[in-house]
Amino acid sequence: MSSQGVATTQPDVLVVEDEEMLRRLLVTTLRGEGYEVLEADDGKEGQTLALKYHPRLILLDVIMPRVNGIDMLKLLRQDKWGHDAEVVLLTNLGDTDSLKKANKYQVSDYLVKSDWSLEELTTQIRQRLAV
Amino acid sequence: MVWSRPATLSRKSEDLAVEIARSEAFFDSIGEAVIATDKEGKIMRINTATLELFECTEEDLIGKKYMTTVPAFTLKGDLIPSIDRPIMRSLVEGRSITETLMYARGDGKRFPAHVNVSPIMLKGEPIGTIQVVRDVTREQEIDHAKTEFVSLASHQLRTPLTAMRWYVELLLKGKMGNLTNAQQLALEEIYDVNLRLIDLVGALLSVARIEIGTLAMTPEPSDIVQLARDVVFELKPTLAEKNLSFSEKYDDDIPSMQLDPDLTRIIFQNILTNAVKYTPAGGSVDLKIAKLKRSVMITIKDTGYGIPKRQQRYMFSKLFRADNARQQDTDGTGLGLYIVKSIVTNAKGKIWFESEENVGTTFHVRLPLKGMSNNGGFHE
Repeated sequence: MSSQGVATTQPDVLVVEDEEMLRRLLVTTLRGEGYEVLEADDGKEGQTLALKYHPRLILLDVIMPRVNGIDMLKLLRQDKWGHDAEVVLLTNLGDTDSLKKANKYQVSDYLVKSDWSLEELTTQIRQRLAV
Repeated sequence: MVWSRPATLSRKSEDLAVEIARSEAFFDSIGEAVIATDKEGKIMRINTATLELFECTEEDLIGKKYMTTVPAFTLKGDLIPSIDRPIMRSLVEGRSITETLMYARGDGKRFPAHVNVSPIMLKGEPIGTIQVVRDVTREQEIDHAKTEFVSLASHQLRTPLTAMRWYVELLLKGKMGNLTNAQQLALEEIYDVNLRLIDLVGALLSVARIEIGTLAMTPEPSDIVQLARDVVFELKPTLAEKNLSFSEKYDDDIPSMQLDPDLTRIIFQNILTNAVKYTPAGGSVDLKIAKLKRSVMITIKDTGYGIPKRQQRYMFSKLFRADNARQQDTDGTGLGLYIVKSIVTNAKGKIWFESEENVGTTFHVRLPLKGMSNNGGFHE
């Protein structure tokens, strides 16, 4: 388990990412912006934290060990709260088959990580949380 | 007295026998299953490959009704009704039908097959069909493996590049301590090189997807002029830096079109960037978008180095770069125009150019007004 700093109030962002380096960079940057951030290193843990703390936004990787992003999304959408939870897929994958599946589960956006600077990503997240 | 046939008749019958023997040998030597039916769909003739493919004997097939003896299924596994079978459609429509469907072998095990049925026509009427069936199990496995590879390569190559990009970004912003000027410059170089690698990986993946046929096209109502203007806006600093004059002309009556904005942007980006990159300082670049009856015509004209005549036919080939382009710029991948051509072709459009060395190049792209078709999914 890699969840740290579990918030007592509703957290802003849940980062579900198995690559430790990327997860650390994202989490540190978002915390630096003043957001309450939860983190998980696979879909199973991500699902548990999402259903327990109801984060305002979930940044979800696709290829992860054990439960991958698509499977987590599928499970999440079966939950009463999770059905409408805001999820942004943040992946380096471009496989249309997986992404078509993700589209079926209504994601708010799909971002290729390498195409975005941390600053651009933070701006995107800020705009989503401001709504 | 010995009765004998007239010499001419004997020769004719011998010729016929030779012809039949040849035709039989030819029929049997074909590596793919070939099935001939009459106009009622009764199996008249099959070759050895058919028996091997369906794992059955001649008695199982010859003289039987093809529709009932050899059931066909959709790729999803549903039984195809007789009326929709390629053989029936070929007879009714009087033309060749090509399709991929599922057949079952003697043991009931199903396999994907590529089928081509042609009607045998006599005096304008179909009198039967010839069907060629190919087992495509292996091809489908290879396609699947290719798709898996692209997906894996995409993930494995981009993840370290992303980490590098984000770390260098933090370093450059001084979030990990102060930098000397030399360190700052070195990191800026690393950042640029990293972005180039990310672009290269993106281009290689696009090429791989084009070749596998999984490049996603997701059109939405789009303003093509605005898409062009966005790309022009990004190029303004380079235009100014090279002192290039630039003109843009857009017809007023261009309607909103069903376009994939990202793919359309790639078209503008590649052609305009090439025009800017390969036009010497002081030259000009002109962009025009005109509405035609059923299409829009994009014209991008430059007064650049041009493309050597002998190399023009390779311009849309993968990894090709003209000799004079290599001299001007060593960084290009030679993938841009290949990707553009693939996008335009997929959108049922056309792309061509005229070019003269040291005079300039004009690219034309014609896209149908009805826009692009959705092939599902997201794209990058």
